[in-house]
Amino acid sequence: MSHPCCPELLALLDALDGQPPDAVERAVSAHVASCERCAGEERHLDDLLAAVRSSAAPMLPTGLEARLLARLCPPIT
Amino acid sequence: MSKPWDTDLSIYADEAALLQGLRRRERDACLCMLKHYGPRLYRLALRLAGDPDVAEDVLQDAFIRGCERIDSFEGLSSLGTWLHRIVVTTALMHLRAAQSSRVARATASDGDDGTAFLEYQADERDAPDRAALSAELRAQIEQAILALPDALRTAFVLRELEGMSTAAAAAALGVSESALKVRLHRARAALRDALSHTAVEAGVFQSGASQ
Ligand SMILES: [Zn+2]
Repeated sequence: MSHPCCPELLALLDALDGQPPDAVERAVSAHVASCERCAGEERHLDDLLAAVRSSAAPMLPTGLEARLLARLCPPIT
Repeated sequence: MSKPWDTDLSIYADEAALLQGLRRRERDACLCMLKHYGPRLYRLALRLAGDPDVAEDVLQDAFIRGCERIDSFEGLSSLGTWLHRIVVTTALMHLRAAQSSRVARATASDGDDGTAFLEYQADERDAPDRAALSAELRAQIEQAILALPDALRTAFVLRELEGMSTAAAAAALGVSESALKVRLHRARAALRDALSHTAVEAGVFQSGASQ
């Protein structure tokens, strides 16, 4: 089912905004490690990312290769 | 009608031959380089820059820098890894330049080669599409990544997609490791939020699905 990101995490990130990174990192890591909801969402994201990491790069946008070639190796006239 | 760039590229079957061609400034070598490395490097540039127009500029600058320095390429890494690092450096330079011009105060100090801190091995293999992740879902994920703010997106791409270590990614971005980790938390939270509706079809994610 669809659900937005763990609200407790979002509230924590909001509350700690501007605090020293060390403290934020500790607090957020501690939450994520102990929150069931975060665990599930992190797994879901990791699954998506694993597929993205292993996907082949799409073709270059139309015309880009020709533009790059013209720039790199101007035809001899 | 055959286009001028429809060329037999098999003459550069291996990297040493391609490198020689590039050093001789052969047009075919240029084209071979673009065909071989272009797609991966463009995707990297786009993910880092977050914008197709900027990505094109980044890629062009990176290839120009690469070609200019091809004679000093020592072959300590593979050509692909070397080009990869140049794209990362160039993309971060573009982002910094855009940012500093936004604050109307350029603190340009990008004279150095700037690749020394990028001590990581780029994964150059075109891995087979492991998951039958639909093109639509992939596009949604890429879009969600591009929508992240610059600071979160660059941290996320370098660490999570490019596989740089926390230390290397932090050094590349000029922030502390804790700051980098916080950016990663924020990036992941934003992505979880943006992608929470994506259904993972059963069977799509059997890990290591190689028969
Ligand atoms: Zn949570």
